Amino acid sequence: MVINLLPPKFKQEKKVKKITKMISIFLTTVFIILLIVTASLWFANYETKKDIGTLNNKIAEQNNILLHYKKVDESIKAVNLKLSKIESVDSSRMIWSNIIIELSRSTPSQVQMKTLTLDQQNKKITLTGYAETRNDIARFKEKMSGSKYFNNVTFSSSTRNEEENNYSFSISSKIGEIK
Amino acid sequence: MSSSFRKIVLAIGAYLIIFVAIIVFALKPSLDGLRQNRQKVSSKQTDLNQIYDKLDYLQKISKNPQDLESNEKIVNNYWPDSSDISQFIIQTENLANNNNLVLDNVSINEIKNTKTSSNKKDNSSNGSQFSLSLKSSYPSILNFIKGMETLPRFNSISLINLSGTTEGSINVQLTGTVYYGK
Repeated sequence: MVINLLPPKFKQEKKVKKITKMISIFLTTVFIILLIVTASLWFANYETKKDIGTLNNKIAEQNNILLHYKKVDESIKAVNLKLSKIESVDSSRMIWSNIIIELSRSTPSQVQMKTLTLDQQNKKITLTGYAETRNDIARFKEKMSGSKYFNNVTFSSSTRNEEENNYSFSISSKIGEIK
Repeated sequence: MSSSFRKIVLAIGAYLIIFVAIIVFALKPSLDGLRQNRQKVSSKQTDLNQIYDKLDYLQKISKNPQDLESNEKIVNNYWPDSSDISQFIIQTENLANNNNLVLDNVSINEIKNTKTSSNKKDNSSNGSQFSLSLKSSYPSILNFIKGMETLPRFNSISLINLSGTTEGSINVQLTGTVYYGK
């Protein structure tokens, strides 16, 4: 059994000194750790800046090499610009031959066309012609309606020609597929 | 006791002030700087890779300059820098002759800044409006229109008027645009 013979005042002072020592060791350790972390960050920052410098030099070097190909680069850019313009106009360009071929396929032998107007701006087709009977005109309209190239086929008029013994008609339609 | 306790508190306070000072004035700026520099490195690396790719691509193309020249020539004929209407008229005339067509009338009207219908970007180009009057049979006219659609000079036909004549031939009026510009 150990008996502490020190007076209570000394005991208290010793205890305080011990706590003070522990706290100062802890705080000093934290301080040193903070310094080490800061120093490491500074070093990492320094290295990163060096990397940026190296990359900048490499970029400048490669850009200098690129200058040798400036003419080729400009030619390619000019060609690509024109191609994009062509593509842009071509996307809305009508391939009229397909529409005319489709129209002639849809025309029965008893039907004759007199005029045909193909209008890109209004996306409209207007045609006039002659047919032996009204039934032929109706068949023609039905055939046109079944084609992907013609939408909203509208039969405008049909008039009997006594002299010619036929019917003149007028049909209009919106353009469907353009390619 | 109170004096010792005060000393401890003061020491802790002093340390904390030093810690905060280190964090605020050294640690945080270093950390922020490092983060920013890392981003810069990453972006520079991307730039460099793009330059390498472009260089590689240009070097490959430069190995075959004839290919580039021939493609450039085709595109420049298809869409020339200047209006070069005479070239278009010659091509149209040849096409008409090849299809046994009579080209009655050719008229050209220059229009500037034709806005194309691209949704991607605001593409504008120059164009000359042309109008052709011709007369022939249906097969010849159809072949002529097909030929116009595949002409070595880019053009678009916007209006076609066909009307039958008493002799059995067809009169055609074509209106369209022939494009040019850089």
